[in-house]
Amino acid sequence: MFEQSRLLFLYAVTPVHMGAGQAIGVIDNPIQRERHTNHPNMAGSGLKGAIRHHLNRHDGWKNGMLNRLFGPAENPDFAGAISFGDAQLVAFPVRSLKQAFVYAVSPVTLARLKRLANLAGVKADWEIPPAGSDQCCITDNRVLSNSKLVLEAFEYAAEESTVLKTVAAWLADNALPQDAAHQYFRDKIKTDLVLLPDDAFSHFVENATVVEPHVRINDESGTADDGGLFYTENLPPESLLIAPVFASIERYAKDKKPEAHMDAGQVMGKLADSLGDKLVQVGGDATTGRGQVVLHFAGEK
Amino acid sequence: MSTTYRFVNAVDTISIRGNKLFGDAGSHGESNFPPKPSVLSGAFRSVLWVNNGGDANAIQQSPFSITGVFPARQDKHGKVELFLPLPADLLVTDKDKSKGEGKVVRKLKPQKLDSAIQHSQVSQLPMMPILRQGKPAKPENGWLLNQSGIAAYLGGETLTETHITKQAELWGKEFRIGIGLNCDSRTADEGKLFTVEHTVPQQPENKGITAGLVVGIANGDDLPESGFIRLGGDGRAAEFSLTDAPAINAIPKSATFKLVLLTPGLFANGWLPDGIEEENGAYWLKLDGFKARLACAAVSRAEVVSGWDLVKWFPKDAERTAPAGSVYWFDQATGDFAALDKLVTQGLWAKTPDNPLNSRQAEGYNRVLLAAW
Repeated sequence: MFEQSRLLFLYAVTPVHMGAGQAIGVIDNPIQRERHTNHPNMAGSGLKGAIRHHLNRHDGWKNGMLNRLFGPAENPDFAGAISFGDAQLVAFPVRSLKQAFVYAVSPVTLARLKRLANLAGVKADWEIPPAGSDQCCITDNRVLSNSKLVLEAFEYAAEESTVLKTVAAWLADNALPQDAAHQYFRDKIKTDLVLLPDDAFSHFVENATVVEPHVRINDESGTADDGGLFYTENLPPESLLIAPVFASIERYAKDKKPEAHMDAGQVMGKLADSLGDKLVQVGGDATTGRGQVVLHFAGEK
Repeated sequence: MSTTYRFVNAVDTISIRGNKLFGDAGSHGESNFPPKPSVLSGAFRSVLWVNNGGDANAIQQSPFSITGVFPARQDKHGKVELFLPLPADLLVTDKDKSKGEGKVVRKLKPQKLDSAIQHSQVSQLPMMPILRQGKPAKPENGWLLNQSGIAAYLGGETLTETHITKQAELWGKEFRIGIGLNCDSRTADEGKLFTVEHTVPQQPENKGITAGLVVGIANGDDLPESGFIRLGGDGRAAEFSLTDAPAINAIPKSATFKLVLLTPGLFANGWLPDGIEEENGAYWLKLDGFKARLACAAVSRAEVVSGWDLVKWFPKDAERTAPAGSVYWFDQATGDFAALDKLVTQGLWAKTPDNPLNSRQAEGYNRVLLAAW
């Protein structure tokens, strides 16, 4: 049983490569995607592993604490007390003629955000703005050019929505750290959040990710090796995702109950204290700057 | 005995592992859905265990039990629709594949075979389930009996394609590749590549429909109405909430009827349900003041269930089961039909107290539905 649940926002500050591990398209190393929406996501197992690594040398997690709460690395005598759900996409950055980029959301991503918020007991008393098949909602007309929203090579009719403004303000309050360094991005979410129809949103999340060609340089010739060309996909920086996090009482091997036995509240508290507003590396290509995400628990100031 | 129902839906995906080995390099972990009732029993007992301060003995001695597990979906108004995996006597085929004219649902019908017909079934049952169709057609997998289909099936009516729903409308499968990271090198460890199958239930973004399970729970008064359970591999979360009792019509009492396994059957004699005894060359279901002859049976290939006993810290015996959906036809029924109702509320369990399988009773095995022949 999970007695505690919280909502964890992940804000990408560099491209993120959570690899799918298999490819049938033109991209050699695609990122993970949800089966039913094809939106980029992060599998809960990968997220848990990355956070476990992050805490590995953290002072408060030494002397076996990591194994106690995340589960033993070897000899699974007992289960961990922490569970991460899959991180789902909330907002995706799309190149815009005005304001460099906008944060694109869709009715589906907002519906899922609201559902997870309700599950985690976070108040999300906003409605999902209705989106027409070729009509967008915006929070501020500064993103318009000649009354049109121009994203990549596409033009959309758009109108301001007070309902979407409420969502944007909620995101600014809940999705990012409340420090000065993130002030610009909190403000930008308030003004540059746009709601796209689901099909338009799907187009961008499938075709506007960061796809990088890589070559392998021959040490002696200094030129590209034959057969060394490959393409790697990344989730773009400024993407916003959300993951549910659950905690139970601390588990232990049979007849080995620890002296200090943590309840679910203490487990979640320890995790939130260690992760809140921290920069964590997830996914592959860590040494080339990939996978830096800022974590923030909703409802935390 | 008070029975309440909970609607259980995964927060995102779940992976209910089967019995195949999983642990070597390159292993593939299969995922089963719907889960066996013991999976839900363990998850809900875990809730009770946490709430009672960790007293496992009290839970073992309590009358708590699972009474049924149904695939289900909930609409945006909270209305829940039940489904059943297709009973073993139903087959779905194309009407005419070349014209794409939809589906036809056919029933196996018990029939006496002429003694001149040689067959491989070694049994003393007087009839065999026979499929009659005009031309050969391959039955399709992946169909469920929907709410109207359950009512029609239990009532003995003819079934049409309106009575069935494609399983893919409720859940799908996805494969995930995993690696084990080495803590020191921060690279993938040798020999720790694996794939795991996950079940992806329909989520409410699509027309407000949430797919999940309806779980019947007897004597679960100490269970909260709602909360989160840990369900399946990777400790993934599922939400549960109180829901209304499903509407399942009782059939009129008659001398012939069908008994359908709602959950897998753990029987001492394999496919033959406990409580059925051999007498004068025939099998008889004998209850208090009630008797009926087993005339025919359609039992799919056996499935194996096992599990982990948290109290004894030991794996449970792997047991073969008659799968959920197995059908047993009875005739020549006489006596007090109220005994049959008891069978539905308590399950098919032998009266002998020393039956080693009795410990599985609370886990929800051997639950049945009655249907018209």
